[in-house]
Amino acid sequence: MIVQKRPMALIDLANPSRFLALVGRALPWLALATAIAFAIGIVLVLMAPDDYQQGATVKIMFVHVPAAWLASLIWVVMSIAALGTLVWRHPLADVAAKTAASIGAAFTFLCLFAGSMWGRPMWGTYWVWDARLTSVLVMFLMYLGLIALWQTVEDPTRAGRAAAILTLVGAINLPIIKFSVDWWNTLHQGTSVFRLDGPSIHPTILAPLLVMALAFTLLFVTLHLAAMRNEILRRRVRTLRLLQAHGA
Amino acid sequence: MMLSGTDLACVRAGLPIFRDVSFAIDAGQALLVTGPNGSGKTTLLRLIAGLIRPTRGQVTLAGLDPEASIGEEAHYLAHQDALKPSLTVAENLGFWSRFMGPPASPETALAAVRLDTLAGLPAAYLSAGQRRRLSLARLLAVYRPIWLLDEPTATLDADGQASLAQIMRDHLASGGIIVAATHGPLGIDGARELRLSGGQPGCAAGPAPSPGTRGEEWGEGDASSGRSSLAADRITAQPNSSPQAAKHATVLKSLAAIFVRDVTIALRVGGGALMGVLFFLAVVTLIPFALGPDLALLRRVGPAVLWLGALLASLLALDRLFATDQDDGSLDLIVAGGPPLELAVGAKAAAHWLTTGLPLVVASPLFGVLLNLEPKSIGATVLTLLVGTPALTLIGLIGAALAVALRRGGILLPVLVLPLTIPVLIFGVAAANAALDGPVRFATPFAILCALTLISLVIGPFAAAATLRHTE
Repeated sequence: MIVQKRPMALIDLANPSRFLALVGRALPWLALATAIAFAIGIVLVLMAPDDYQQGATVKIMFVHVPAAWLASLIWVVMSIAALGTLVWRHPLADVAAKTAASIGAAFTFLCLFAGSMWGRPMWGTYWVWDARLTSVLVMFLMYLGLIALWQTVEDPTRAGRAAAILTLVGAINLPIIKFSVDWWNTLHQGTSVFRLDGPSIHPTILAPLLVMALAFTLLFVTLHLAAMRNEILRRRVRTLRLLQAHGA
Repeated sequence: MMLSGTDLACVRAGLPIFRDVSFAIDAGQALLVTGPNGSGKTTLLRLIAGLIRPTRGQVTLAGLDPEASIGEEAHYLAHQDALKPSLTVAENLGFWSRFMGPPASPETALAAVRLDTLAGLPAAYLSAGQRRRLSLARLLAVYRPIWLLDEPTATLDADGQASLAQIMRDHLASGGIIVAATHGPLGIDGARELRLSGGQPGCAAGPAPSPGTRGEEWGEGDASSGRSSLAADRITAQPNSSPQAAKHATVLKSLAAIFVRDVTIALRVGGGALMGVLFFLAVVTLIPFALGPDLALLRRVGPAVLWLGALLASLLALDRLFATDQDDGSLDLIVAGGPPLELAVGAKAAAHWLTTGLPLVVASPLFGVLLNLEPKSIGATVLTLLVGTPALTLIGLIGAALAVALRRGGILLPVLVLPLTIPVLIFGVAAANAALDGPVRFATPFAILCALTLISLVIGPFAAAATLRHTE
């Protein structure tokens, strides 16, 4: 275990056992809060008016937009965790980063899938190379690359450093990619520019959207803490097995 | 049973390693090959195992199945442990016992080297000495009369060396033969010594040096004549009703062992089975950035893009097809003493296609949607990829073998393989396009694509096996 030199606020969580105990207490409440937020959100979504052009398909947006929001948020979470790994050497940082990656990829995929389901009736095709969709697709690729990196190296601490550097490079590059893709898309203005969002969002749409965004965020926090707990336990099993090999 | 070498000489890279080496070992005898570093001890062992051809002279084995090569009757324990880190201890040993023929009892062998308590752990967790003991377990799990041991005591502790000595004495007592390259005593009584006195780079030019200029010293011990009939019993214990059928069954078991092992490794951590699909997706994503988000254009070039992506992605994983086996020494064991190398290579190719080629085919419809292909066009492309990707793997097999033989992986492989894949690409894309609006019928290019795959099924394994045999 790495000894922290400076006192810091997260020091209590640096002890995985204390963290596990805390997660054990918090998880049921978080799960409950997630369920309530989703219940309210779904009711609000069902009550929201259909779009006069898009009909009921506009409701896909209530999944699509929060998923897209989470796709970006999770990369921010991973970047903070990467700093935790590289700068503060926080023992839980790479656990947080590793588990966030697969959840992030899942939300990104959900965003793409929902966008493509929405696109079928709207555009007549499952996929267009729209600037926003394409940016999310590139982000999805970067998530998968990160997961591949974690999967390639068996030793989690060694993989942690490499993944942290890649995450930070990605954090710098994602805005650049976003800018480039926007520029690329406007360059080809003539072909197919569709926007998922309208010119302005009406309050009857905005309220359920915000509640759904909250519900999705709660879902992420719940899943992330549970995944971190699993990862800590998995690493303990690995350590025990290593000890077994060296004790024999 | 008598293992003998007469007037052996070996020249590598123009330098004579040794010459005029002769020996004759009877059943129940051990031969210790000694000499300074670089005197050719390992080379001599590899030569006996059949991994290197002698420049002059020959190694003969009398008194056993005349059809079997020495490699099939011998265990070769090299410096490398021939273990896969992602497989467990039991899986590693189980593979070699199934691969090497009539499986004895891996569990007893594990217990004999005191690894039975660790059977479920990945080999990556073992220390160097434990890995060495696990390779030694191979010798006990499958009976082979000849043991070729290269520095067998390396990395073993005192206990390990003592139990190795006991294992070797038991093997000799049962009528086996041991040839061991060593720097120290191995604890075998009455072993004979063959001392190699080191290379003489100065006389490299002489093509066939006259015999007797550099004699080999013989340390003659008293040959142990006490040998039991245990070995003979074990050999005749084989069902001899139909030796041919039994041999076929053994070969099939070996091939199945290779196939299962390679698939398992590919699916474990670090196996990278789905890495190709990820690369495929990246290539497909890049194309619209280069061409512009023009759906009509993308639809037109879609099949070609999918084919190019699949082609490049299938090249990506080829690098590791033989390289990892070479690095850990497994390749030597597969080449030396198993089923016909062509079939073994074919089994590896099948496992490789299943874990890298088939996922590309499965993923391609989704990528077809990204490129706005029509359902009919997607179907045709998937079908052509299903038929064509085995050809890519089999052609790549040759490149992978060449890269291993030349000890140059990486960028050389695509340079070698890409030109060979051009016909597959031409007819694959032609068939995929013909399905939609081609001037020719789908069946014509598709039939040629099938033919190309069948041809590469013949050429690939044979060329790869021939390349691997001549790696030295």
